[in-house]
Amino acid sequence: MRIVVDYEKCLGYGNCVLAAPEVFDIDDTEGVVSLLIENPGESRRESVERAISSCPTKALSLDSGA
Amino acid sequence: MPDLHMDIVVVGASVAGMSAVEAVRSTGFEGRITVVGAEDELPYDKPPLSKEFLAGDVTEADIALCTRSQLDSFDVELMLGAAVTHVDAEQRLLELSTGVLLPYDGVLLATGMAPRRLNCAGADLAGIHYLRTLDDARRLQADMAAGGEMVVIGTGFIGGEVASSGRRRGLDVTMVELAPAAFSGSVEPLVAEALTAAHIAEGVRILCGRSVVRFDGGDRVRSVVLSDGTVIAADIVVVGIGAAPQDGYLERSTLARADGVLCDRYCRTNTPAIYAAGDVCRWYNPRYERHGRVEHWTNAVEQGAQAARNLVLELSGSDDERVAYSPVPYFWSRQCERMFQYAGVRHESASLSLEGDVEGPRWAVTAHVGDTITSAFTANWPGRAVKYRRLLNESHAHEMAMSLDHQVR
Repeated sequence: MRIVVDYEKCLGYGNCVLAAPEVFDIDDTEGVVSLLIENPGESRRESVERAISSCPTKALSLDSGA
Repeated sequence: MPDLHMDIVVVGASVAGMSAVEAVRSTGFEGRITVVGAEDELPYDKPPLSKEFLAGDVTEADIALCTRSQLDSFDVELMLGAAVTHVDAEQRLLELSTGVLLPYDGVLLATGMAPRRLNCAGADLAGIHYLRTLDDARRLQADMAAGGEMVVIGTGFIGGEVASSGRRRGLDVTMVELAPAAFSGSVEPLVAEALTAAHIAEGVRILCGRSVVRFDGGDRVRSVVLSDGTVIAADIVVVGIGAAPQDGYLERSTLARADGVLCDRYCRTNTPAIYAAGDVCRWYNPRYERHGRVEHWTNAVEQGAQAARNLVLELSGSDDERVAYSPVPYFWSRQCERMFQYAGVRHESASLSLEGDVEGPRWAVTAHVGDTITSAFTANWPGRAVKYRRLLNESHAHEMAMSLDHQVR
């Protein structure tokens, strides 16, 4: 899976971090999401999908080729 | 897995309702899903209504909850403009306002809330608005586009966001609060003072300790008369004095209610195969060992999904695999060009500590009971907000919760 972030949309709500803390974090300086893993493995699919659907501004998606 | 011929009905084409639909399909459920929505609108997102939508930064298309193709991929039947008027649990039938009788195997109730209304003299005049639905927001936005003086009744988060959107559009804005201090109903005094200062700096006038006696005007509202005799000119009035669960349709049913639909830790009502989620749901949160409701977006999404998964498990005969829903409440509010985030529950005897300066660019207030963090409020500091949410999630502060009710006003 490859995660795509629309940084224009991210406002640092943080729901993705709570859903998948091993994949997402919030950058303390910028106040927006940072990816700890850009290409997470299949074992993380469930938590990554939960993170994507918990984003209030739909800033996260999976690369359609993934 | 439940068999192919089962019917799940989601009542409410809402944030919680659509999250439930997605979750049901993600379990592999292949039966029929019907969404009954009282408004004649495709499902839309609510938080932007008081913020970006009112300010004119986003359009209706931007706030759609799902695209047509997503709706198609969920394979869901939408019954819009239809309200459920009765739940007959014995016959497993939903009665709809359109006269339709809808049979079900499982139900998820996600009907949300309705604004509390003022009933003083003149309360029916044109130009007096409540904000809950997209249609409410359309009408308010149209009035705001005409400009003029806006009076916001109530200084909760909705009121604050509307006032802020009004200032962005160049309106003159006055806020009126019944309590002695603005914003004091929803947050700690220190935070309330900071919010008040931020609004004053934006040019909002705030009048506290006063109630509305009546509205004057001809066809439209022209002024607001307050309890101390103050008269404020008004072209637009927005009333944001709280909301109540929309559960009146259960009056003739056997479902238990108490300021919301009463549910257990799995978000199930007192009736098999009927679950609830979102603002309307008063469920037992094991984290705090009490019942409560949470009136925020993140809860609607998460509870909608968890309740839906539990419903599918029950329909599959796997009750013992259901998962209790035990979140730390969280919400955000964008107003005065700032991002405010709050997590946790308020506690009377908590001690507060401040990081940063409330007049500076970013700051955080945390509340502790003993060594345990009970809540965190941050301004323009998403990194801190998420750090504290993680801490709160790890803590088991159940006996410390004063109130699990997070009310949007």
